[in-house]
Amino acid sequence: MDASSPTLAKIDQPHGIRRHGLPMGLAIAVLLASAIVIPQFAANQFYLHLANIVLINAIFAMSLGLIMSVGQLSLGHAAFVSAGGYISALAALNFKVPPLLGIVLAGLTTGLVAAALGKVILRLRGVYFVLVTFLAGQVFTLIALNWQSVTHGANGLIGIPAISLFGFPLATRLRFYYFALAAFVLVFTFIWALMRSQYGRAFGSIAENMRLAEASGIDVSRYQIIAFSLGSGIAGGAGAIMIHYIRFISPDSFTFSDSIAYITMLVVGGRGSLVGGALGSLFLTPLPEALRGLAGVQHILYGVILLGVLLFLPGGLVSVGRFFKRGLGRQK
Amino acid sequence: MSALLEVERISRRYGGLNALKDVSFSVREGEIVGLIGPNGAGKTTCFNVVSGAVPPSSGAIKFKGRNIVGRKTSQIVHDGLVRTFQATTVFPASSVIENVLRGAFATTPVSMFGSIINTGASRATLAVTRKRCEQLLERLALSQFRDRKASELSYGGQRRLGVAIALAANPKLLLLDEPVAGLNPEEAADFGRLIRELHESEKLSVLLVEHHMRLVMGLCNRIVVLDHGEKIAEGKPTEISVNPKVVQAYLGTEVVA
Repeated sequence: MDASSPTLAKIDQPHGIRRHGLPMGLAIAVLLASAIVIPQFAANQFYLHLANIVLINAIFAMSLGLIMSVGQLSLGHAAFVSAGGYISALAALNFKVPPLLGIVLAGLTTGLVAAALGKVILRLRGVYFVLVTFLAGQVFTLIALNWQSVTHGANGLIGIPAISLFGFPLATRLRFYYFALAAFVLVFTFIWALMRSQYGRAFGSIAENMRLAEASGIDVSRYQIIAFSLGSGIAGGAGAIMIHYIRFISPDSFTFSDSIAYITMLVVGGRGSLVGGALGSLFLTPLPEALRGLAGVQHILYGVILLGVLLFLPGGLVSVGRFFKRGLGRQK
Repeated sequence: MSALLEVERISRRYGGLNALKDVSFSVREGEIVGLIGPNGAGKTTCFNVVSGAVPPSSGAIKFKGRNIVGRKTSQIVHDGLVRTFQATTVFPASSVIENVLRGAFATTPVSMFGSIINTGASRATLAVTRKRCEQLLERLALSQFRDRKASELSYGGQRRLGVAIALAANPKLLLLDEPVAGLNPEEAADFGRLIRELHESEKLSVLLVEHHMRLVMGLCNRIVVLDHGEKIAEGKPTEISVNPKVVQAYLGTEVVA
């Protein structure tokens, strides 16, 4: 991330919410209420499924944003998602571990692995770090593909149980929707609180000027490891949630192209802010479906829309308000 | 007065180049020491080694009697040894006050976990820090810019902000790397006064690397002269300006000032 781009910590500064006061709180309440109520009336299974994927993808993008907030770009994010999925699936299939516990286990394990890996690879800067995370992701896919006795290779794992809460299985799309919404709100709130805390201050300092951050007494490697580990752990946990919904995982479930998709969501939504990741998922997850009627030009249009967003909204979809304000100002 | 910083026979080699060779000097408490020398004399290398950014090839550095070689820069800052940089001195995309708050990171005694859930205790601690940072801005004549982006400040403003960031860490010893490079004479003189003020009011010790001879001669209690990575002289400003070795190293040009 270059120095001039706003960072997560920058936008979610302390007092950010308080400054906006009531209108912001009201907007959040209305958004949440409609997110809870609307699915009760619109029982279309297809839209519900899309909403579920949007919510989980948003968690993937936001957790990647957490890693990017210390100035490091990971191309192996999908590997942590996949690892979390495999951990929880294998625990459920082989040891009858309840999915809810499996999700926590997946998050903790991927977080710890990321911390250990980060200790080594976070010494690398810029493009070298990007390359190593890409390789780590590829290595993980190869392991999942070739460790037949455990992962069943390319056939993947089938019959993964659904999440059940107090003996109440979340086997329908509607029931899962509320679980995914709760997970999304939890992750959103956690990252928001983190970014407004001293951690956010440390992260932002590192992203903006690493040498000066170190000279200000901020232990750069420590905070980079924390961000990498938390971001990857959240991704692992959310990956586990996803496979207990899809009920199937194979090495193809989460690949390099998914890592790219999460980055695209962040950039399109606005990589500088937490809302950006969520917006990016909300925009990009359903987009291919919306274009499905236009067989033939579907992929071309997808590309054109992406280019359009990047050209006219370099700050991402979160900056759309600013864009219109500027446009109106010019007309006067 | 006891020595705050003791540098004992440090050397730093880059491949076949001896950037520093057996350099020893000390900074006592409450002293302003200048580190001068012609271009390529090893001043910046010396500075980087002392601040922990670059490890010495050999030799020892003690701060408050404790060895600091091999410790992380961020830990050394916690002990009270803080440096500024020649060029990249600020967080450009953040507000001026946020810049100083980041500088105060190491000296904000807030529990990290407490700051996530934003407990009353952490809010109170941060409020104290914020107040201290506001006072620093006041002192460095930056208050009116507190909510501006650091990149919008003038060059001189950014240099002052760089010092404010360093001061926010409550240093015992401040290492200043060419603080007035690129400033006009008036700004440079102001800067000199500022350092003297801070030195007097905060009992701040300073190690100053600078090319600006008038500033160095007027400000420092003692001067260490480097040439080709070796210490060639040490003494009071009046002694240094007539030292034949120093005059020779500078070809008699700058010392005239």
